[in-house]
Amino acid sequence: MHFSKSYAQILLSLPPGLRENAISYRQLKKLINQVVQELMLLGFSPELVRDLVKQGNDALHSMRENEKPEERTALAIQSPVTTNSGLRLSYEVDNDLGHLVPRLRLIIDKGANVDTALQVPVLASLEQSPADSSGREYIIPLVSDTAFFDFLTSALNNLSTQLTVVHSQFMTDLEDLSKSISKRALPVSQVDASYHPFTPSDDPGTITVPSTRSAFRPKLDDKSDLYLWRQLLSLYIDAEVFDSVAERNRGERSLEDAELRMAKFLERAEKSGVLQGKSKKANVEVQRFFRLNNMILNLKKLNYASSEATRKILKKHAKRTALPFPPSLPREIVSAVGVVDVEIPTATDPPSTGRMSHALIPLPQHCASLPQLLIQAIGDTILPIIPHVDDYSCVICTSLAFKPIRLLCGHLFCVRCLVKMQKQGKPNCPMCRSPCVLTADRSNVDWALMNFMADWFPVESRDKLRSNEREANAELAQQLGFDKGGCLVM
Amino acid sequence: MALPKRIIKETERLVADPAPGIVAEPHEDNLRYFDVRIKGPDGSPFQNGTFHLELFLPEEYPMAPPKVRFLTKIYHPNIGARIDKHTLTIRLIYRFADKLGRICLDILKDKWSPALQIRTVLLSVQALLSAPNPDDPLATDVAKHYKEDEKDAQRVSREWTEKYASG
Repeated sequence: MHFSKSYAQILLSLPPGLRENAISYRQLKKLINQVVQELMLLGFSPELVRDLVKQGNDALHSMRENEKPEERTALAIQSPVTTNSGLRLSYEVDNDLGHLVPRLRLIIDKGANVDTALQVPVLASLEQSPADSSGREYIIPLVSDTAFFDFLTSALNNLSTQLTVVHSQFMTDLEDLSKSISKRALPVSQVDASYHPFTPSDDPGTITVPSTRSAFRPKLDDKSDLYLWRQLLSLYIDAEVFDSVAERNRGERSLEDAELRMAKFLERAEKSGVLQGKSKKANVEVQRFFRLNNMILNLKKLNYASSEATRKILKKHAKRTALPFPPSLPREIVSAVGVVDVEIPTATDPPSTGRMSHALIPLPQHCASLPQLLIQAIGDTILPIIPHVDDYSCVICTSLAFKPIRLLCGHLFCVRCLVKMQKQGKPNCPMCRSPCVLTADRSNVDWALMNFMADWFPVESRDKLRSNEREANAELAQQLGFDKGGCLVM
Repeated sequence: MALPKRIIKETERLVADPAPGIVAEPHEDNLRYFDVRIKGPDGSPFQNGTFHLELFLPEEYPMAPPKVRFLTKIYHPNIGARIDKHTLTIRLIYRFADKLGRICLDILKDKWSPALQIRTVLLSVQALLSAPNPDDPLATDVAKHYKEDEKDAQRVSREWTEKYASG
């Protein structure tokens, strides 16, 4: 499909608030036509310019070598062209505080027969700039080209301004949502009056999750959205909608991939039943969470469309006018605006690429794009509200490390795994190999953490405690000679 | 007996997010038994080879290390050369063969820790291919060869890789 068409389609799929300041690709295309017309009037047809470029490449090299560095600083960007006929043409784009002013510089060496080489009607009317000893030099301003760059930079600036607004609005929404979730996703201690924390005076061996607590699942569900959000966020993390954490393709996902994953996440969430929340309030919050994520998706789209539009229009500019494309120009534009991530198109004269950009432009630091910033913000704001079980699990059994035992070296394991290690006489910490396993006893119980776990992971800690008991009983039975089959050997 | 949660989790991750150059798939009829393929690391004499291994999680895992051995013949000072299983006296030789193709890697023996995983074990084996250690040999003749004439030993390793591990 033609780009201008697919560009228009992408924009149409965005909410009006986002698309109203998008770059007008059509308008820019019209402006390029005007640039071509102006060049024609001046006598520089695309064919002629292309010709000059081709012939000039060799001369360009030898000239570069002789150039003194300080002479270069005067010009922002320069792509000189010389012909065999003693004619040199350069396309310059002066960067006057973000205002890009393109012009042509024509240098005619002494003795060159200009008129036979090319018909440039504009030369007659031009004022002669201070000629150096080698010949005459003309500076030809390009009015319509200036209009093109003005339009492009102001379009990018508008976009940037709008994105700043979108950004701050998003952050406000996010803060608000996170506060609202925090108020509703409460731990047991906040919703169960009978809750009381364990203390070191309790005997850790006799601690069981009280029977009132084993019944608090429904109670918790009435008063707290803790498990609703735990489930939803866990699905969200697993979906890896925007970023991949896999070893093979770590990093930001493509737009299509993110869209697919977002749809899949929604589908899974629907299936798991978290979307049919128990309360209106919970439903509203969940909807808001999805809205924020869709916003990021839309911004990703806009970002992609804008950078493609910028890249394509600059490419078109270079193609239609045949003006040697200054390789650092896109960077120049982007660094002036600093929002849209533009891939640098290959310059029309590759040999000079590296040199030019290094010599003239201190490359802008690659900063994270807006969607990346917002994804990070969700990670920083919403995810920490609900403690994740992976952060509190025992590395040996991968379940919640309940009851938690902290070894002298500081590493944490569940009591069951440590008992097993002690029984097998394994002295070293699995994480750091320091010999502190065998000396661990009830003084190593981490009471604060145990209360935290019982408070925030009531279901997981109850389940873990039960499975610990089951396992210990099975082991005991085996030691006593009861086999799994239930046969007693006397 | 039901498969422990830890093994299920490890398997899921191995399949969903495999480490580069390592494929590990559990057997359908025995989820404690894994078919493993490790690509020879670039820059080593095992480059371009694909090595077939088997990995078994004993009942005590993760308190006890997994049992890993090479099924593909390999010329490496820390990996025993394996006799083909499919020789005449299959049953007799099977027990013997079991002892071969094994790997001399401390974390698979006394340095095992229950915090290690299938993934970390296989990464260690992969690393062993890049950095043979002839001072702690399992295949003494290969180790001797590696110590006396490393270039020539690497040449043989390459030959074996091409002969047994390509395809």
